[in-house]
Amino acid sequence: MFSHEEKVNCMQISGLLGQIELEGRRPPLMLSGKTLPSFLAYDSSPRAGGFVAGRFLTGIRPQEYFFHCMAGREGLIDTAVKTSRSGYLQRCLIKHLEGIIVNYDMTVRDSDGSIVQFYYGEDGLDISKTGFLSPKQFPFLTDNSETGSKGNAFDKKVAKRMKKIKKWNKSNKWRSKRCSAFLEFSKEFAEEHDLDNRTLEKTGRSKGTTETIRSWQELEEAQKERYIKHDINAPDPVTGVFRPFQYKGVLPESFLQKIQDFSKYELTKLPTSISEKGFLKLLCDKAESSYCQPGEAVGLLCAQSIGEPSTQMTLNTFHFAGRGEMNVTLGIPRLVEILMVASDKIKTPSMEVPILAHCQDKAKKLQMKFNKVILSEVLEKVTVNEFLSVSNVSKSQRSRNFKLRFHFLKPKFYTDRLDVTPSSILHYMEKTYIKNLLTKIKKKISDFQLAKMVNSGHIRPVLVTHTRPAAADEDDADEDLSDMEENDNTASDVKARQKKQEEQEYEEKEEEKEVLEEEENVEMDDNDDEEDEEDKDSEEDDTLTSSVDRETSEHRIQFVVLSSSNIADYKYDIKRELWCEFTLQFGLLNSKIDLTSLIEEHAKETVVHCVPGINRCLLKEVKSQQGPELHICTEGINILEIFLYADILDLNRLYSNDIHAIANMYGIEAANKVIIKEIKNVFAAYGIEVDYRHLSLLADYMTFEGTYKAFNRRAIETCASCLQQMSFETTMSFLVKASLQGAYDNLKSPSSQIVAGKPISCGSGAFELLYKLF
Amino acid sequence: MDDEQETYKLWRIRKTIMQLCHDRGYLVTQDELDQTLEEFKGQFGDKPSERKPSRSDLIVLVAHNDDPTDQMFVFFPEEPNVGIKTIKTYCQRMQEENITRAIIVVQNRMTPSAKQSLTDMAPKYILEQFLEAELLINITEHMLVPEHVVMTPEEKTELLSRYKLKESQLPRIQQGDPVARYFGLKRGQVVKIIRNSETAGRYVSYRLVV
Repeated sequence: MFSHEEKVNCMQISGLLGQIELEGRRPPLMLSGKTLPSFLAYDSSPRAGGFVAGRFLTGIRPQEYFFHCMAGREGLIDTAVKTSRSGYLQRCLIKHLEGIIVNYDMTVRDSDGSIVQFYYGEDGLDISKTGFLSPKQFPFLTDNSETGSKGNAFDKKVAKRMKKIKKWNKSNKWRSKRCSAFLEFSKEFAEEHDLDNRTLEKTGRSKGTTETIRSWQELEEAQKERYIKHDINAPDPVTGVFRPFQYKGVLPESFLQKIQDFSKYELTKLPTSISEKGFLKLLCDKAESSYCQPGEAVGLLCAQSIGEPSTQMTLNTFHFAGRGEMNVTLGIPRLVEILMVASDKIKTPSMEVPILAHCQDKAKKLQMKFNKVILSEVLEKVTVNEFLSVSNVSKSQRSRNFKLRFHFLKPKFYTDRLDVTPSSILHYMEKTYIKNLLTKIKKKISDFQLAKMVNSGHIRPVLVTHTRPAAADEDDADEDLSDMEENDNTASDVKARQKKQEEQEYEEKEEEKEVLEEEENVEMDDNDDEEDEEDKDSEEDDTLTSSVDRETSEHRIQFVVLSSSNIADYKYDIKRELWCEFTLQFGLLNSKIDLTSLIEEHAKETVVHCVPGINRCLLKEVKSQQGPELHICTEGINILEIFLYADILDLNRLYSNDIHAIANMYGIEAANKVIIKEIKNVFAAYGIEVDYRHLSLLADYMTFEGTYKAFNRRAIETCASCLQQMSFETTMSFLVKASLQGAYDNLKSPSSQIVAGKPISCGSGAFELLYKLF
Repeated sequence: MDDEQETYKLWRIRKTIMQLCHDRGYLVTQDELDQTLEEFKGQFGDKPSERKPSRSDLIVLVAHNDDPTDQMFVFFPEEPNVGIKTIKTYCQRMQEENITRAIIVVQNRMTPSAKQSLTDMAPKYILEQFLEAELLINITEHMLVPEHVVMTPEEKTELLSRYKLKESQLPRIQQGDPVARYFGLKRGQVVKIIRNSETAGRYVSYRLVV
């Protein structure tokens, strides 16, 4: 976004300003139907909608100027609002990370001595010194070196280890993931002997296997030796065994690789006369001097490196709500979600899985399966007939009847995009839909009764209003942490009551309307009856042909009718399964409801088919190293369901932005990587790049406990220094807790050292002099 | 169609189980690791609906490489919801054969009382439970999961002395973490994690099981 700033400026000066946006849309209309008083009401011209065709060079019109000011003002407000958000974010980060420094043994530790990283940023290098360690700068280094520097680049021990790793890499290039001495033995044994791998023993293993195992166990140690050489795992990297201050030339592997590649392909092209060995020595010396110095407050640096760029991110709402694009939270809200709330229910969870190369044709079908189908998508129309049955029945049996007839679209309209069939829809209607609808109707009726009672002034709906805010409070508990807003109990109470009253008033009006509607319904009745008769005829034809069908259909009807006492009758289209008809029966009193709008509303929220957790599914083409690749992206997640399609999807490359879901399924180390990637993505959307070392420290701190821990009040309870806790938030409660537990502070964290008036043990305060007194 | 799917599922689960046993250091042959769907059908049958194979046919008993008496059972209960009764029969079988470790692969879920019984038997008999759904794939082969290596007690003390650490100062991994469950880790063990790092190439980290 911001990398194009120059281009935008030039465009605004000599081209045009373009469309003005307020809160992500065009300037809103006022009550008068105008955007500004100088336009006509409901003027549809671009200019009236906030399009500025003028440029700064030749000047803009007054209306355009006004629109431009509106957008400018919005930007100012955004800046004013967001500074507090990103400021608080940075404070939270700093309070957690302030004590994290590089120690004298190269480890990164918190003030209580617990290890966050074994090397800072995984390679131990100081970020400000890494500028010259990229191949681009190698020629510069060689130009400015004294040629022929003497000595070896590596200590003997280090060189030996590097040789070992090299050898292993060479010999195990084609090594499969699983290797062991016994596997090697079993391969040979299977070749030599004709094993019976079919029959099973009591242990669940085949006869051949048991034989192999027995002969392996009988093998002498010396004979086993031969196979054991296959069992050697990759040797640890040099940095894992030695430490840079111990020996010369202990450097991260990827850096050594870079030097090697360079000296192999590029060095000879340079105009310098430096030898390969001299070049190696030069760069190793440079890298060794680039290690992060002990005492460096890397935690603080990390917090500032995240906090500072976050102030640049405008609060502009950033979602691609358009078709074919995934909706994702971005900017400060997403950053707060990852870092400060760490809730297991994120706003826009999503998954992305590559589709195996040979299964691309099955992708479309899978997409259909994951897509949600709403009832209104397959519904053609619904007819509702209301009639009273009062004559010819006793007083208690008098009832109000509704005849609901659902007509569905012909399958040809949706088979290529929705994963439902007419019969699956019908089954859904019979088994689930009608039950849900009935409860919905009953609720409406009881609401209606309640409303009547209230109006007569006998009972106040105190009970109802009280339960509402209580439930809301619980839901808010999580958000509370981040927002720090106090939930005003009384205010929500009043609101709820007002809402209730409004609803009641509205329903009263509805009642009057319905009287009018009933007449219409009666007219419709006639038409429908005729249709009914026709359908009945055709039904009979069908049923006569096969008696078996008839039996099952009777069974089905019976099932539906028996499922509730309110269902008087049920019919359905046996031949083509394109319609079904319910007859519902209610008591005469208080059952006068507007069923049509209720069904219309209900149909929009009724889900006929869905995979739990997944709302939408898209196919996306992604460019990879092997060429274009198809990825399946889902809105919402359900990893276990995805596992069932292992033959179509490349599950080893499944990715999700839900850190909790990944932690639960793949473990904390995978979650660590997702945290890094997600934060990187947030900044990348604004064209900002944060160094990997900062992010890896952040992620390692968050996953230190083995769980995903956020930067908030709850997580600081695990902090060892109680004075640091108190200096964060809610001082009193931490103070009370600390005094109740008899906690003590060893004055090692920066916060507590400031409280006690000691110099902080970071940077140049990281060391102390020890005197020999005697 | 349903049979086909079910067989496929069972084949994958058993395959993952075999890989799991191998990664824990039990003796598994190359043929068992490489078993194809066809071979599986040949060995066990392809009609799960007619109990061919029934789940109890899939049972596995493996012996450890270092110590042949250290054996582990893998049970596949028939019923979707495993109750305490099934656990008891398994326990009896373990007692008879003098085996202290077992994995139970649950179809649907385990009743709370059965779960409780697993923890009650804990120090003497170690029973772990896995869901069929989570064994359809092997999580350690996932791109985001780095290599975990379980350390011996000697290696652990060496590590602690090298960095002059107390146990509590190491980064942690929960006992219920999916990878920790995969390797059957016990509290107090340390895993070495070899990450592929953007900056360092390979980076070695350690986590203590809590």
